[in-house]
Amino acid sequence: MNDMAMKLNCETARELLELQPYGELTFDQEEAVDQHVETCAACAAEKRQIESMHAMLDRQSIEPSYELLAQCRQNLRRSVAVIAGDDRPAWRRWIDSFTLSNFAKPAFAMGLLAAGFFGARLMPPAEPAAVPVARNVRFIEPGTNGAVRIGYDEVRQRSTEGRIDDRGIQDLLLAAAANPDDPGLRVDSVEVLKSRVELEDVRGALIRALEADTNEGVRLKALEALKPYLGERDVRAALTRSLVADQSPVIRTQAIDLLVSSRPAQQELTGVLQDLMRREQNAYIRQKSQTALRAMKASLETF
Amino acid sequence: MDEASLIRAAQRGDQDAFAALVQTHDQAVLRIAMNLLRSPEDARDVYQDAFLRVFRNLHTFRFDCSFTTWLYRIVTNICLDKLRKRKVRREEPPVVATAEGDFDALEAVEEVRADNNPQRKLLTGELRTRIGRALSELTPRERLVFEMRHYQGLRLRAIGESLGTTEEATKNCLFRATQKMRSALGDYVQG
Repeated sequence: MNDMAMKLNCETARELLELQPYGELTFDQEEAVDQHVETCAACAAEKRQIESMHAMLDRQSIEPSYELLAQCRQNLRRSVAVIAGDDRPAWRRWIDSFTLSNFAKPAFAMGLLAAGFFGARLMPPAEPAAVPVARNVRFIEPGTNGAVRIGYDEVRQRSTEGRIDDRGIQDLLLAAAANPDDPGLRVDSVEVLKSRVELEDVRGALIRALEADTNEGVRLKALEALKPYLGERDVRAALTRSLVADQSPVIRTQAIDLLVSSRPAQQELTGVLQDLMRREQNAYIRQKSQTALRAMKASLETF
Repeated sequence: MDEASLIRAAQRGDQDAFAALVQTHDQAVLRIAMNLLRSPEDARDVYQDAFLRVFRNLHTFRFDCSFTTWLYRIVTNICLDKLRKRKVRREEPPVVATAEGDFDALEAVEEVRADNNPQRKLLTGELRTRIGRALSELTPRERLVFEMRHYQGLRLRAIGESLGTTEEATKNCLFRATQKMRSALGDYVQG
């Protein structure tokens, strides 16, 4: 079915007819099937039979009742509560076992407050908080009388809010888009950045993500964000490189769909498409390359 | 909150976020299970089993694929197991033979379109029985692909990803399934 001639024989037409109702044919395949059916009575009858079966099956779709859904949700809630309960450490289970009724909670809270207030007056002043062990110690200077001076790096978690147009927010998002340790963070930042692709820095970060991110999900997100900017040469060039080099057929498929739909890209693509005809493993991409080359009246291969 | 944020919150142990994530997808999961297994009890088991596996393993989800693909991979595996067990036990779950003739267990399930015309209702009942039989003749994989494409409207590529196979193999599977269905439905299908 990959090497589609415009004239079909009945066997190929019937294979395609089975898939036609699902919208899984390319434009050219659909066109060829329709042409064939117009001139072949046997395949036209086959088509009516397939359509009749689909209409029949469509009427038999089962929609689960709301009661069943509600019951499933309730059962799941119970099971999750049990699992979450079992997963608690022993000390937590012991503390949680002293559950208070909603009624008793305010009184208990007032009691704690009072104990804290009076306790603070009776106890000696608190010592500074202990230094956590996990900090990265840079230098140690022993002093006299058992004192020691230690230099260490400290990482603190802070949160900030602002609009995506704020330079500080943008810098944080761009840094997150390049965070090598957390693909989830990179997906989140690309999702936010995609509303500002017109900015050169942002577009550059998305192009880097599309071409170099090790995570397919991040690359796909970046590709989606760049879609509306096919008119930009740097975006087309990045998509072309992805089409040629990306390991993922999903990314390559999306890249070719986008590129062949763009007139300026088509003119730049001839050599790439001819190369794909020769070495691409994915049938859909080869088919797409072939169709685009034919539409451009270009040769299917290089000589 | 978007889906990625919900997943991350649920990964941190936020049960409300997990509940919101479940509610985004659970109707589709139940519909797949119901159409595939044609038994409310089995659909309920699949729902429970699938989302408990999600709950236990969500910390391993690394955004390498979409959450839907990951979830459907779990759901399809459970459904395939159930279908294979049925084949081994030679169960015919939706159609039960009784003294009064074939009884479709799905009659007990809410109908999408209520029909008051008794003759048409009888014909619908017969047809449903026939379709139930035709579906049970498919192999578990064919049935899964057919149901997910026909009733859930998933693209072949997405089904392939859920099943860990190629789009081409999924397409071949769908092709075989539709041909078998057509042959099994015989005179019901007008040429």
